Amino acid sequence: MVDKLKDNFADSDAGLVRRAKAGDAQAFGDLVTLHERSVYGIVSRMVRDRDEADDLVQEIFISAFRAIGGFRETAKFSTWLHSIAVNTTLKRLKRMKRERGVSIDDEETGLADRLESEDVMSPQEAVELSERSESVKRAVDSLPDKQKIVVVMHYFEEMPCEEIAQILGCSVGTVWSRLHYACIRLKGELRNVNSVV
Amino acid sequence: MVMKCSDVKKLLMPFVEGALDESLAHKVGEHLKACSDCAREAEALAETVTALREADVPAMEPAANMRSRVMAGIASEPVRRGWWTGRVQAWSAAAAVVLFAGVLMVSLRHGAFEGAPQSAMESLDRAEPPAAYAPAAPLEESAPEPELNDRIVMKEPSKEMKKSVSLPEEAPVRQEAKEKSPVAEGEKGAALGRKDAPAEAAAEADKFGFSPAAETTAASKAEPAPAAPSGGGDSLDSVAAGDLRKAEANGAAAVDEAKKPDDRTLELEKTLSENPDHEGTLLALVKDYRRVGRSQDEYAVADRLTKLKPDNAGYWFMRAQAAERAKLPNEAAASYKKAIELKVAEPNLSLSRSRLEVLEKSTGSGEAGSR
Repeated sequence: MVDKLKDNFADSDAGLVRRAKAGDAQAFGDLVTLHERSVYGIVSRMVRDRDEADDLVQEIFISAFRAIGGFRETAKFSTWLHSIAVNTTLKRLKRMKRERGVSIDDEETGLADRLESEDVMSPQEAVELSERSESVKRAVDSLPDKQKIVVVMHYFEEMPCEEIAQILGCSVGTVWSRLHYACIRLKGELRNVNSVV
Repeated sequence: MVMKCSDVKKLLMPFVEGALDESLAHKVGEHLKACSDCAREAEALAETVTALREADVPAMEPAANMRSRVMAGIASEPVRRGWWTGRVQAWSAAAAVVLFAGVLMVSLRHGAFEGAPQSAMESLDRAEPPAAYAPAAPLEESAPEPELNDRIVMKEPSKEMKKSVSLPEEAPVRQEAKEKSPVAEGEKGAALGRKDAPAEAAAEADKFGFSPAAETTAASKAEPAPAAPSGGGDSLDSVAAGDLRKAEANGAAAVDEAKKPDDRTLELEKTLSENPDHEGTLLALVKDYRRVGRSQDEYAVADRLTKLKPDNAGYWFMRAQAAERAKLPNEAAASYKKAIELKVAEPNLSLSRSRLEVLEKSTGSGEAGSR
């Protein structure tokens, strides 16, 4: 389906955005298909509950539809969309914490443990990597939301700091600063859980 | 110029990630040689970054019915008009009022309407600009955190960001999904590329309360956002499979995950065809081929990286891992040897030693590999 979209539009995002701005809901649906994975990439690592993540992603795209009339095509659509995703996610997390009174317990992660047994790793090595990944996951979950989201975007979604700065509406220096403080905090957390670091 | 610790510490993160320009990186490096405190902090940061890069923290698979959920949600939204439609209508109304007022004034001058009402002029005064879209609430900011000294020049990390985080080189590689069906050995031809995120003005950012970004330095046209890399294979995990069943049960349209083409790979290949020795693209492509299980291609690109940077231990380790996945034990062994010789960072060094031992036993020779 995505192939078909790309066949129809040389520059798929630009064409779809123009049509969506003119009121073509199907075009916006195609944008959802093209970008849902990257939005889940941010949301699902911040909000561990499956249903919560699905609801949040839906809300993000609906918010984007409402606001797309004001989107100026001088910047990347994905950057704009990710700024909505970040904004909406942080607000939701704040509300959830306020309602629950405590940090969200992430026992129900909804995440598949993707580590597969590999020919290139011994079972022992695979177990060790899995344990280290779990330690890192727990440590990242303990970060304040604003540090956590830059860690998620930079290390797990591999976004460069300039793009993160555009998404967050801050300077690149601020992004590096948040990463720095996050890493300092993570170092302490990882030491506490007796990981490789 | 000797740098102070307070300035160096602000630069340690970009330094560890290879995002400083050469001259600044050199100055920081010189400081670290002389200052054990800063050097310890840099080492700690490098270890943490390595752990983050190697960790397997996959994202959830999108719900199979997300598109239909969104479409259902927007079905009740008011019919959207083009932005210009509303403006034209509003300005047309304003023009009509101005015309009427002009006619009225001429008429008044000629005494046609004594005691003409002021309503026309008042209407003109009241003519309102087109309704603007309500901006979303601004992102809340807490007390600002200390910022880096922006006067210190940094090069574009998006072009030069390296995988290596230890001091000075290494590119630790994450263990990724197992090999899928093998592809013919050898490098692929032209491919799509993924441009590094350009410094574009987020002109619409003020819509969400963001302050306008700095001037565009290298604006490029909008391009499709590449799909976020998944942490493992392409098959649906149990959660997504459950969602798919729910979607089918509800009669909602389900996206055929298996048939989704790989836009990200195509983009990367295209960029590489335009700039065959672009290190960042090569690194991204290695990872992408690994993600989609194209082991032969992964090996070919990793091989190119080692030719580009023959002294980079991390690239040799990457080549070794790719060679194993591509079922090239001799090449894998040779690459592990090279990675060990160049002292690749832990835990890859230990892994290289143990894998080399396994490979040498299986090939029955201690001289496996040639290069």
